[in-house]
Order: sequence, then structure tokens, then C-alpha cells
Amino acid sequence: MTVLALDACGRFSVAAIQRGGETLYATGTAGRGAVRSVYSSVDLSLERAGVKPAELNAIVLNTGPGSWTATRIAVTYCAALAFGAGVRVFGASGFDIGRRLDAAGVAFIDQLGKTVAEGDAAPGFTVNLFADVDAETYLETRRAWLGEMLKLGHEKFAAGEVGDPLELRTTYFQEFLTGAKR
Amino acid sequence: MGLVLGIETACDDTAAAVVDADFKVRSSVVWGQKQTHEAFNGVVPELAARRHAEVIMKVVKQALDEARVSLSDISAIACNNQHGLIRSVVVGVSTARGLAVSQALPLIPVHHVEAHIFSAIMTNPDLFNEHICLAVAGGHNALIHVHGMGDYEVIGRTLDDSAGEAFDKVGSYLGLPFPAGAQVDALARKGNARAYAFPRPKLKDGTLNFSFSGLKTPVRMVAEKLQSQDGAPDVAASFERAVVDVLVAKTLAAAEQRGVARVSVAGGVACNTLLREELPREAAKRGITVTLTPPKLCTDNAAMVAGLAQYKLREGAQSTLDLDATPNAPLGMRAANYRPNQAG
Repeated sequence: MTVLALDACGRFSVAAIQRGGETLYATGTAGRGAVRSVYSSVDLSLERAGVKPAELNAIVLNTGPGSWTATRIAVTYCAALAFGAGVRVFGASGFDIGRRLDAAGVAFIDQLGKTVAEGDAAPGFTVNLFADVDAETYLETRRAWLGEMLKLGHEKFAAGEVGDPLELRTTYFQEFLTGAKR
Repeated sequence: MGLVLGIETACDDTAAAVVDADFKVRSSVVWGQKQTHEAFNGVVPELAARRHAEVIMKVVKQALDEARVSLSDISAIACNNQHGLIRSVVVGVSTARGLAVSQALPLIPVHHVEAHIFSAIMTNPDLFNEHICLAVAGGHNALIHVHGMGDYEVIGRTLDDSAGEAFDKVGSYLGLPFPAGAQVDALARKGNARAYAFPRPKLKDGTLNFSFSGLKTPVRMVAEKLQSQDGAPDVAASFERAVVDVLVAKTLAAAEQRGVARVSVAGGVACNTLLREELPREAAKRGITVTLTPPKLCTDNAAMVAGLAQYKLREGAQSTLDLDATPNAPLGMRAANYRPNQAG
């Protein structure tokens, strides 16, 4: 089973691809905004794994909250990629992913750049504290996060979730403030 | 070359279309956002982008379904990446790129205003030859000397508002919901165009430029003094007459100055009833032929994008995955400094 995970909500777009027992990580090059970063992280992941889009079983991505434009590009790019390749695509909010890591007792770096310990999950939605890090350093901080996303993709696939590209949506922070998603 | 799937998200219309190698439109789907922006009397860029992202894949699927094809039947993907609201444009670009990568299809980027020019050419192949195009909508307002495909010279432009923008604003003064262009047109049909002597901005300034910002103020002053809606048709008709007088006069002056006997009209305002009547009538007196783009191809649509991409592919255009959204890109080589609504 081959799953691609993409997170474009932070300073850089980062991706991971899992094929069999092997996981490969990639980060996008920093371009104008995050546009090229989204494309290049996905392209690089597929290239490194030697996988064509149609050979994927599922794509899982962080739907936000995060950078509005980069997240929107990631959502529409993955939806189109999944639609064209006939692949299931699963979205998960940053809060969902953070809660899963927290429940598993895994310390992780949130998007505010601080280590979140067990019982203290508070995934952020800004990227300011990562302003000075390079792409590779940023990727290192996101490995646990991407790993959890891959796990989530496997679970949703196994559960038979439809993963309809036409229904993929960006998650906005306001939805949490108003309680619409909590 | 087979079928091209075009995607267009320049402003607040989410569009996808399938066009064949003979420029026949096999499907054209446009999903508008009237309800989203109505309360604001104008397009809110962030909201427009959100709506694009929500519906773009459904629009693409509908376009494929209506053309009775699947993505595997498509030979190339095309998108506008060179004019519009950047947040909206990136949605179309990312969707087009995702579809292209998924099936290893060529991806052809096009300029929104060039696609509008091409919408008239799709209507009348004579326009592959030299002509003057009046491209007039909510987001652009220009007179373009089309020396040939890809060879454009912008010889007139608005110095402030576009005609389409003025129609929408006047509609709001008259209590009409956004976007109001078509409703002002309908209202004007019931009114007296001579009721108010609104100014014809820059009509006799000797240039081919436009200015519609100053026209809005006198219209607003009259509209505010109306005692009831009964007077609205006269205001709409008088305003429309002023705009059309300027558009017609400048377009024909452009044709005469350049010694060109063919004129086309494209863009949303090209749907206007009075413009469609007056321009051919006045042009005929001067021996100038006018091609009016069909209304379905006037407002923002993806058929014009796919059609232009078909032409570019025929001419050997190369696919590129290395594309960005550059919403203020110049139109053609001769107009390297031209930005569709930038003064100067």
C-alpha cells in the first residue's frame, strides 16, 4: 500500500510517502509564497519513491488551519491529483492530527514551534517562530506529524472511507472558534 | 490534437469547459458566486477564493460529464494564470496542474484577456487577421489592435474604472443587487435615454482612453434624489447611453485611425443590449464590420481558455508544469508595459 501525506499549513510544504515499510520525506523548495513549495514537495515525493500518481492508494493532507493560500493550493492540488488519478483523498485538520499525537503520548512540534508534551496539545496556526529555519530543519520538526498523517491515511483507507476529491475542504480557524468543528 | 479541458477562475466565476480541435464547445460550465458577494456590492477576494476552492472539482466533473468524456479522453489541460484576483487565480492554476500531473497531460497557461479576444475569434475566424478588439468587462476595459494572434497592441485603456464596474456601481445606486450589469440593461430598456444629460467622459479628448469613474458621481446624485423607483429606468437608460456613446465612438475612432475594417467586442459588457445594437449600426456607416461575441462567451468562461489553448497547441506551444499565478501579466509582446487596468 502506498500513501502520500502532505502538510502545507506551515513555513514550508512538507510531504512523506510510505510504500511498504519504507517512508521517504521531502520538503518543497521555498518559492514565492508557498505555491511552488506545495508542488515541489509532492513532485519530489513521487519522484523519490518512483511512484506515479495512479499507483497511490491514498493521499492524506492537513486541511488547516494554516496559511490560507498555501493550504488552499494544497487542497485543490491534491483534490485534482486524486480525481485525475482515481485515488482516494483524506483531509484532516491540524487539530485532529495534534490530538491524535497527544493521545498517543507523542511529543511533537506544533506550528508555533514549541514542543507539545502529552496532555498539553495546543496546535498553533501561525508559523512566525519558524521564520528563520531552513526547509530541511523545518522538515525534521515535522516527521512525527507526517508519520501520524500517514497512519491516519492507512486507517481511513482500511475503514473503507470514500475519500471523495469533490468533497475535500479547507479547514479555517474560525470554524473552531465558533465551535462548528469542535 | 484532441480535446482540451479549460479552467478559469479569474474573479468570481468558477468555470470549466471542454473544446475540440475545431474550436467547437463540447461543454461549458460556469458556477457564479452572486449570493456570496451580493451583501458587499462587490467581489470580496478571499471569499471568492474560498468558493472557488469548494466547487472547482465539481465544476470540472460537470464539464467532463456534459461533454460525455472522462479525463482520459482529454489531450491537454489549460488554465488562466495571467490575469485576475491572485487568490482566485491560484485555485485554477493548482487544480489544472493537479489534473495535468495526474494523467501526465500537457498544461497550457493562457492570459485571461487574450482568451476574451479569442472568444470573438472562435465566433468569426476572419478575426485571425488584423482587427480591433474592444475588451470590456468588470475587470478590464481596453482597445486592442490585434495585428495577429499573439501580437497585440493596447491602444486605449481605462484610466480608472472599467465600464462593467460602473454598471455594477450604478446598479447599487438604483437599489439593484450585485452584480447589476444585466439588470441595469433590463431597466434601461424601459427608460428614456434622453431624460438626463450625463457626461460622456473623454469623448473628445483625442485619445483612445476611457474614464468611467467621473460618470458615477452625477448618476449617484440623480439617483439619490429619486422620489421613487419609478424614475430608475430613466436614470439607467441615460447612464447606459452615455457609456455606450463613449465605447462606440472610441472603438470606431480606433478602427479609423489604424485603417482597420474589422472590429470585435468581447467581455461581460459585450452582452449589453444597446452596445450590441449601436456599434454594428454606426460601424456599418463607416464600412466597418463588427463581430459580437455570443453572450455565453462574453462573461467569464473556460471555453475561451480551452479554445485559445487549442490554438496555441496547434502553433506548437510547449507544456509547462513550472507555472505560477501572475495576475498582472502583460498582454502580448508589444504591450510589455500594459497592465489591463493600470493607468498611464
